[in-house]
Amino acid sequence: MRALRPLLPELTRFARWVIGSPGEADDLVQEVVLRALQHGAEIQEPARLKAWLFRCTRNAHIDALRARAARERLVVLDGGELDACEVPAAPLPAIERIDLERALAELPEYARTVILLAEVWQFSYDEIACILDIPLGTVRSRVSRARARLAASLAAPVARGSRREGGGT
Amino acid sequence: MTAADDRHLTDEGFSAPLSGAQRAHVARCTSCQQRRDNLDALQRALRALPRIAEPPDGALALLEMPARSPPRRRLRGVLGVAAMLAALVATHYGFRGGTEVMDTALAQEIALDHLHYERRIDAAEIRGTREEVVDYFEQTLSMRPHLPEIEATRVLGGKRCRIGGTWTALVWFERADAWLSLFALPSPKVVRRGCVEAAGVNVCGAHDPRGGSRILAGKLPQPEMLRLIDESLE
Repeated sequence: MRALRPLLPELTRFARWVIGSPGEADDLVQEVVLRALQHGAEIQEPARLKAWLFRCTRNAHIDALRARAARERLVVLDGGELDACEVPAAPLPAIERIDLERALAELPEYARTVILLAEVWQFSYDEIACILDIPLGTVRSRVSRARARLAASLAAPVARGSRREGGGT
Repeated sequence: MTAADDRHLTDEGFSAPLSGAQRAHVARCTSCQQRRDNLDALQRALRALPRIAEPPDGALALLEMPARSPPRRRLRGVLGVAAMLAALVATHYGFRGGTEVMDTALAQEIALDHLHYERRIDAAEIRGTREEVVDYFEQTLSMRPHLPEIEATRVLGGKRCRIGGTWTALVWFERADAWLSLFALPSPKVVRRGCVEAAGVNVCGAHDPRGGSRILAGKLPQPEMLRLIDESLE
């Protein structure tokens, strides 16, 4: 499975962003590699393998979330949609990476995943629909709303300033 | 501009080709231009984010393992013949049960997990007494692994980890300067009490009479590891 090795750094970054916890993300990547070694031999094309790995990572994460929710008697709301949100018409301040990462972390998991796939990894909407197993129209609306939400979040200097100071009591 | 034009601009983030009417509208609309500039700035920032991270050692080790298996077709043939011979021997001598301690892939995964975290106490999610470690797993995994005092060993800490896709309690021990990883699996994964070697690590397992399986990984001699497993189940 030579094609797998060069894809691992990207897969690791994706898992860390989607999951948030580096330790859990590393466990998940290890599990996905095991699955790939068991089942991925049939996927020869590197582009298909990459999409398969991202899909497998995301599915394993959702399985883990559901298992945890069942244990802790919580409900996983993964089918919801972000409220529509206007892209601000005032100029955005210079976007700092730390602010962007915080804004990403504040998005619901499904919105964060879709915007990462669309903008950071630049998968086509068709590929994202296949990776996430959702209709093309849903990909479009999720990307659009996630973009607008990120822009709105980055345009809120007061809120950002107060978060930076910690705001603890 | 029509409602459809407006939806197109919002959905595509101004990055898709615009129709003549849309271009004309954006050229006249200051707030549209600003929104387009904001989305462009956001897109640039997102695309500048790092796309790579250092992969976990365990995943790399899995890829670097030499391919020991013969080609699948040949393996099936070999396994078929072996199974027939085993069945004949079992029938003849009245043997019961298989000879494998646990699935090879499971032993490899356990060994790699042990190597990945060996001496990395900073990776612990819980550090404390045996009771504190057990309480942590009860709160986070809804399982309370039996963890008695074992002579000449010290509990270092633990974390939750996924083994074969299942959340498992992992407790680290120290004994005579050796680092030991004890996995309490909620499901029966061990075929019989015994040890195998995987990735240079001794991996020993036994059924947990309270339910599930218990697997210990480390570099102590196998008889000592088995004795420790037994003591951990008493």
